[in-house]
Amino acid sequence: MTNEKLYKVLGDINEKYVKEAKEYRKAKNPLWLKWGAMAACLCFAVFGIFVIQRLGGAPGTTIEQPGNSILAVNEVDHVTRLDMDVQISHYTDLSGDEWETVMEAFEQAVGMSYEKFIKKLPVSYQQTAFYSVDAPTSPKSGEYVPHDYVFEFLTEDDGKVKIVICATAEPLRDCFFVCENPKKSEINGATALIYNVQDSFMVQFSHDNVNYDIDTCNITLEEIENLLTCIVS
Amino acid sequence: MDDINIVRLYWDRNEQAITATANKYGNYCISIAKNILGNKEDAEECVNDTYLNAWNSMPPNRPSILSTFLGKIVRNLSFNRYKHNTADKRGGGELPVVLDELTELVSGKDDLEQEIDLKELVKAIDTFLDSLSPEKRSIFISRYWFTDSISEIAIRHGMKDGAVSMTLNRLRLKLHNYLLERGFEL
Repeated sequence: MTNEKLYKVLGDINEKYVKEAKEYRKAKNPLWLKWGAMAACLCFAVFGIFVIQRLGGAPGTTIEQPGNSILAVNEVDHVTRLDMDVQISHYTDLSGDEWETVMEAFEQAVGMSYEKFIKKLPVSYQQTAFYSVDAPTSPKSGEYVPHDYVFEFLTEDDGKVKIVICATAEPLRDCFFVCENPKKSEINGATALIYNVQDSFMVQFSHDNVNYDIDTCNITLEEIENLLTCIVS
Repeated sequence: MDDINIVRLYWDRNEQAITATANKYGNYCISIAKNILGNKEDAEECVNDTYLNAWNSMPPNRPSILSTFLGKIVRNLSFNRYKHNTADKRGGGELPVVLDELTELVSGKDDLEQEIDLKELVKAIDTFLDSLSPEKRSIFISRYWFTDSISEIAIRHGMKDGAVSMTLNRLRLKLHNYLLERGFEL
């Protein structure tokens, strides 16, 4: 048999497995894949199309109390994705002076120091990346400046947490969850929107004039509550 | 619109079926075609042909899983286009590497004497897939059905590229042995 024939034969495998793999692709794709792919390409600009994808299942909101707070988790059945013209700047292997400059820019943009921010987070978080998402100063200008600062972490149980912060506007989003009339949650006086798609949560909130988008994968609602409490305390 | 209603539009010969399919599965079909062909123009043509093909095949078909039904059409059409393109020495996307990997499982000869019951072969592969964990199965199918790149699979599964390649190596070897044990000498 030839490899081409085997490839064709593989096309006839049980459709339930294909469907299962498709769900896997869909579930794991939001944000992580897009940003991950872009981060891998370092400074990489994309212009793309606007796609609306409807996922199966009816949307709804569940009220949960994992710890002290009552959280409204909005189930999402629409994912809207957008490729954006951005560049990623990784802040690794910088010289002392370069790091100093990045820290100054960070503090100026966010209104708090990098160290102060990191100290707010759970100590068990292991940081895996720190970079900025840079947007063009004007269309086709070719000049990009940091719009968002992004931190990625691994949790003790191999969960993934990505925190995107921006003080001047809402963080750029390459993947929107469309949800009509989402219910809000309140944690220590801060109002947050929590969305859930399969094993991912996305949390949007503002605190101390900074806008946060948090994306997680494989972490519990209790861990989300703990993280939010740490940030807003 | 849910799949049942989309299929109903096809059966009613309502052209809205194409729009609904494109809205819901256009991006999905493009990603499969682009993985195989590596260029947007060819991929878009194959996806348009997929809609036409779906229009011509429903009725009589009433697919239970519309996404897989469409995916299968676009995979076949893209693969045919790939073969046509490679005859013209126009390169493909991820497919040449995927085909290289599959070479390990086959003799490369396609003689008529080597009669293999393809239906039985598919059944054996299904049984093999059934024995895998959902994650491994997804990695295998992403690579050999959706023709996804190693790095895409790695990001999706939170693995390093090398780990995905290693997993696929092992799965191919396992499948090879599994098929040999059942008398399939490919």
